[in-house]
Amino acid sequence: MVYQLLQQHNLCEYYDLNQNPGKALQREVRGNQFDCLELPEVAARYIVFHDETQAKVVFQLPHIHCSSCLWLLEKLPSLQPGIIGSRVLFQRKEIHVSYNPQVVSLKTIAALLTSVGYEPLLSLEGARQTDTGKAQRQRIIRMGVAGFCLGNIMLLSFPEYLSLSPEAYGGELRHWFRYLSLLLAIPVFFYSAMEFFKPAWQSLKRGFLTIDAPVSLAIIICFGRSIVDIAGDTGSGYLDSMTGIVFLMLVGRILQNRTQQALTFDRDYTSYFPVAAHKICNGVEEPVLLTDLKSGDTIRVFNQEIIPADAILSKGSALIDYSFVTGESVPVKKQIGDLIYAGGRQTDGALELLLVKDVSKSYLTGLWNQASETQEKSDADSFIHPLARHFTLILLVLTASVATYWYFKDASLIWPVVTAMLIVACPCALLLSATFTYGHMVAALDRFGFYVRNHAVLERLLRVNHFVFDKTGTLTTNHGYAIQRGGDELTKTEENWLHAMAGQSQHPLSRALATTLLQHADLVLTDFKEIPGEGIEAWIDDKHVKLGSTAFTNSPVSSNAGGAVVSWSIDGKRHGYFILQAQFRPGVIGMIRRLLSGKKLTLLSGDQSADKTALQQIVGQDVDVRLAQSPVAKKHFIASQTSAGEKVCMVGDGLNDAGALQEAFVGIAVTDNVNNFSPASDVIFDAGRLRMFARIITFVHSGKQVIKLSFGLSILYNILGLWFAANGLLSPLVAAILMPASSISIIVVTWLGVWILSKRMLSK
Amino acid sequence: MSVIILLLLASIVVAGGFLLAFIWSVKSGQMEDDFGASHRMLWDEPPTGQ
Repeated sequence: MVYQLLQQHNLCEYYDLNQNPGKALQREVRGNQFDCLELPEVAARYIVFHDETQAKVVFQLPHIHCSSCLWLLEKLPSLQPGIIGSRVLFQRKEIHVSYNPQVVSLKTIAALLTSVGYEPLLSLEGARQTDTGKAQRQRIIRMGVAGFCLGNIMLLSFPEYLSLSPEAYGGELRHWFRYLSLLLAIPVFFYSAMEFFKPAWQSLKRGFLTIDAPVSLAIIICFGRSIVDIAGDTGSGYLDSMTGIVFLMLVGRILQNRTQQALTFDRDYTSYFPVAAHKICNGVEEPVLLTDLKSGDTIRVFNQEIIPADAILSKGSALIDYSFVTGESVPVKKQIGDLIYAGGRQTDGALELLLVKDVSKSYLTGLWNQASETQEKSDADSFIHPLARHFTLILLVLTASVATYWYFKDASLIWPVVTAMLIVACPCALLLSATFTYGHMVAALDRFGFYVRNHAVLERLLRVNHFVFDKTGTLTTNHGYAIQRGGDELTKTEENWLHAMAGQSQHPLSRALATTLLQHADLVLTDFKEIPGEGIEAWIDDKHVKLGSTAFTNSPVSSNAGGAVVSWSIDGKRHGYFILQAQFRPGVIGMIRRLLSGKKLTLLSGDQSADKTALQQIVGQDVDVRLAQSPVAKKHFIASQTSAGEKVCMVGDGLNDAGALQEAFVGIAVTDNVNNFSPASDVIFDAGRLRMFARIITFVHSGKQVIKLSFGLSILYNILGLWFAANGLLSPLVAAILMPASSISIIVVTWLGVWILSKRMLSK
Repeated sequence: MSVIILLLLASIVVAGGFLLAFIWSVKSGQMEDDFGASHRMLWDEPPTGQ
């Protein structure tokens, strides 16, 4: 279908660009799927600019993943008359389309995007805010300004480094050079360095000392001393060092904050739910904003749509997939009159539902709102800050003793020596070590599918002493099953029949069965019927074969073992069943054993029926296994452990873990597709890499060694510099060599350290 | 002597021009997407002749 569309418009080059362009089409566009875009309130969320003949709309397309996507999406104008231009922002997975609203409607554009395989994400949350992007932009400009001033100041300080004689370099020329440097340092001090002044001042006002405070102090003293020196014509000051440090620290900050733009960590239920629903009003179906739905309304929900609020089924056959909500992967059959909780996904035909609660008051959204009220996690007592406090204390003691020494020897030298010491020993080295190491680590972890929200999460991860895993959907997959057989023995022919029948059905259990049952001969099913939520029946060789639920097959044999049971019966005479148990992802058991050394580990499962002793045998006796945990129970478990003084790291998936993820010290959301919706968390982790988790934790721990190493190195430089400064020998040349040398060696050491660690620990 | 000062001022003015260009490029969003631009330039325009 996509091919036909492309063929008509001579765009077949698409297939030459990449081996596997595009993504398999999930489903066809339903006629009224994008009706909601005709509501002005909905359209206004996506349209950024609008006039008589031109409008511009921004959609998020989570399926963008390669250069072919880019190529195709930017050819939209040739696919649809009325579209003036389209531009893709790859990293944000956004498309900006300008079009003529008199020729083509927003709805048509959305349908066109869906038909080529890129369905726009229309969620209740609407267009995303880009505040973090703005902060990063400002940081880049600050860095640019600092870099510009640094280059020019270093050029102007060159004569000072050479210690030229007053005849060669003196008088007017020297004044020009020095005052120009001072002029250039002003924007660095008042604009670029604000990056450090502001947070330092804010934390001081709140009564604690962060790493920014001593750094700001050093910058201020550096600038003040330079002004005094230049104005009094006693020296050239340390403007080159000051600008250099500001510049390098800004580079570190930018690196550290360069996180994934396409991922959002602060999601709540609003980004999971659709933006509008089809309300039935006097027998007529009309699109309504989800926020305008009230209890008592009747809505229509189509196949693959999400139930927006707790409701009672009034018409249609409901087969609800709650896999994201509860972790249960098998769709649940509901009868007319049953209560259906919000968050489930309909997997059968259209439904009519009578809402019994508002969207924001439904069971799960309530849980979520409750969770988000928990206070901000504090980063004040991280690993760096105690180190910074000690460092500042030692430095102050040292400076005071040196000052007393010079007071007795030569009181006139106190001021220059003390300021020089404070300048040289600025804890910038410490800050640089941490920012660069964490920046490199965040980038390295990105490559292994472990996307952290920010560097502070890495520091918190270091202090975790209790790991809690969710079982269903996190440690186990929703696709692979371990299958056991029971009841009567299947003959070869019968196995072939069941294989053919299971192959006809789209139900996840059928698909799992079809892959394990052996096919012995080709078989064409003629009389075949699937009853959703019940099973499949067929007439083969004059025999009535049924495959499905125990009730459907009238099976006398049953099993109370954990897992889903699929029964079969042939002519009502021979009976048997399969038990399908969700399988652990490959390698996760080994990962758990590795992780266990020295840490507490808990496994939470929402399963009611699963066999605890069997599970205990799989994961090991020293893991605390807790079954039948509701979403609220999970959250309370985390809260009780936290109040007992444990630092809990929760690893979970869907909505059922959302509360626990928020409550935990570090919340890690595991997802099969990182661009899909995942609950609010600190880390988004690619489920396929879960077996790497233990290694990632070790990697994060070794990062601390890199910081210590590079910090130790810079202390060596500092001692050297302090020796010069304490003896009153700190010439501009020595300062100009020492400070960049220490900064650059930190950058090199952290980069090399992280690179070696990631090669050794992660690439296998 | 004054020649050096003149050259110095000229060089700062030129460098300042580049700084302004840099600020403009950041503000107009050119640092946002480094994937799109680098791939876009590699595609050939389809032959347009009749």
